[in-house]
Amino acid sequence: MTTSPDGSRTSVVSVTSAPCPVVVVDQGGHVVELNEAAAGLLPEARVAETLTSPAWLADAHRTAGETRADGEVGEGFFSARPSVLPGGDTAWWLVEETAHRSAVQELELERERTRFLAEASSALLASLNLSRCMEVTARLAAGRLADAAVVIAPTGAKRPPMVVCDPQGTLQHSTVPVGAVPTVPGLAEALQGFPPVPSRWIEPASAPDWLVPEGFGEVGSLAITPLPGHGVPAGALVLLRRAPRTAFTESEEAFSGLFAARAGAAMSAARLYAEQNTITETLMRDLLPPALRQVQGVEFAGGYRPSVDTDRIGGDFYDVHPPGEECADSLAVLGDVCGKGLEAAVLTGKIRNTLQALLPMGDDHARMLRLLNNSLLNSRHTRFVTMVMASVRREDRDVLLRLTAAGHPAPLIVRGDGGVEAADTGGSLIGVLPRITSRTADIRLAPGETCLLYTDGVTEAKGGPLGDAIFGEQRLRRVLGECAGMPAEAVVERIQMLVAEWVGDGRHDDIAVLAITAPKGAHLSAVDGTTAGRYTA
Amino acid sequence: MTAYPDAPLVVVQPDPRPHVVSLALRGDLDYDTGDGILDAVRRALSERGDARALLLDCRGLEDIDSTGLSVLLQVHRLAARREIGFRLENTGPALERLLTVTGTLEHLTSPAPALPSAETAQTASESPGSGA
Repeated sequence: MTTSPDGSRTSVVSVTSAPCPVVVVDQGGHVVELNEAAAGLLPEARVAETLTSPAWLADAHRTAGETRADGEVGEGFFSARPSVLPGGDTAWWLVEETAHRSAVQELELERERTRFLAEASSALLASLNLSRCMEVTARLAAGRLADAAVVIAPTGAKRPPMVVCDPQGTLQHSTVPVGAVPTVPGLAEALQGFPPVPSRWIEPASAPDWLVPEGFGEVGSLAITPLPGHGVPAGALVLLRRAPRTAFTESEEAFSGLFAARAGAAMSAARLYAEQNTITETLMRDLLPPALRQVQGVEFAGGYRPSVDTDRIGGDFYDVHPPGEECADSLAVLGDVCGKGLEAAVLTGKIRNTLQALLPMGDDHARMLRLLNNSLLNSRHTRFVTMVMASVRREDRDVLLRLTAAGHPAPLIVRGDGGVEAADTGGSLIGVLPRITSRTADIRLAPGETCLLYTDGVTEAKGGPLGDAIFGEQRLRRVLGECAGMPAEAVVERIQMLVAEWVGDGRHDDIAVLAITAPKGAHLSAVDGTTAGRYTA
Repeated sequence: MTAYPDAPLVVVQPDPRPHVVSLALRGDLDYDTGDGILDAVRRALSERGDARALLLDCRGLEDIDSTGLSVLLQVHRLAARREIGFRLENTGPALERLLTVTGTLEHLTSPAPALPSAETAQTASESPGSGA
């Protein structure tokens, strides 16, 4: 060092030999002296003339007390530090910081990008709704990567849905016009998941009107990036910049790719979830038990509480078929297909359809079960159904039941005095054994008496005070005994309520119950269906 | 619940008799474990080409659901196809009750001689009162 900031041992001569550019300026702003390095750096600076360039240095000099200033000089970036010389002049020491500065800038940019990607991820993952994901993607992209952004979702549809976000952040949902995808260079490829075409290859003027938000003005540059999904393309992201902004740099395109990866993953997850949900909903809709009512003077009430695990549609079902031409009795069926999920749902559908087709022989349970068994036999698996069939007929004030349990817990009957008995019926499950057996029970219900068909979701429900006891048949019998004389609907509600209380927040399988009750106190004077029934108290 | 979640669900037990494969079932046999148990039984059988009888020891079996029963039926069918005798051993009251209600007790527990095909094996198990 040839000088020190306090200037105590400084000589003006030393400035010339300083290894960095030094310019000495007097209090009036005139250049007093500048060394060779400074002269090369500041070609406009002349001794005895006012220092005007660079302006940031002149400004710093005018502002008394500045201890540091920095700014651009030509292509480079310099910082300047003053030292006051004896006599009041100031020597400005210029230190080049171009490399440091660019490293700092790059670091800042990277930090900002990382921050943006982290924020984008949280925003994108906050929703499993596809259209919301598309909106978030468009808004983030328009705000950070371009002036406007378009997100196009790939679907089999002729008109893929898209979301446009304009420079003001306004979102608009629309669809791609029919056949318009191939008219945008690179879009069809992006929708198929091919790597992006460099944006400089895409003529901005080729952007069709449907792609550009209203009032956007001239498109300066256009970039199309695929949104990669989980194994399948999740869509395409179109970035638009207004003229005269320059084209996307390579680094910007790479960054768009990083963003697109996150957006694509989120959109893909949302789409898979939506598809899964649609499948589940479709299946559930078909599996939903029918609303029951009084049929031919007999009360029917059903209750179905699906398992709380939405991915595990269970296989419980019940149906009540009113009497038809071929069969004089109503036929109630309650069953439980083994397994869960899609396979159980498919088998349930098949069973219900087959039973529907077999209704004409509804009075011959054994034959019906045999035919159903034959239709379900399969050499590849041993999936089965257990079920109870009940042929129901009103006779005066009583209800006559013929019950057949096929591999299923026997129905319980609650008598007028609160006594509970199990119907004497049994048989083998359906769908696995080449030959099945069955035994049918005939039951007569007096008014107010109920026959309860249930699946083992009731008796196997785990819960209780310690959470690990099963509800069990004994408890069900006790509960049912308290339901003597109740209408069918009340019986079902009470059992459902008690089982729900028993289970608490715990997991449970599907729970299905079906009550068949001989109405109490109501007397049908005519039950042949040709005249209106008259009810008496 | 299984006490040791990582413990194998099917354990091969030594058996002094020749041509006998004895497997012990452990823990739950249900929707979650069914496929794994079926695979394990298949593997154990294929490793013993000389097997003439398959014994499933149910002493360590805890909960069994409808999928579990389906697995037992599948194993029974598998054994019948290979003309291997099949027997359930140490069935507890819960399992017996399930087999009774579903009308499969006789089918699964009747002594199964070496049989030529699944068809005959299952026909042989049919007898009056099997649905009781």
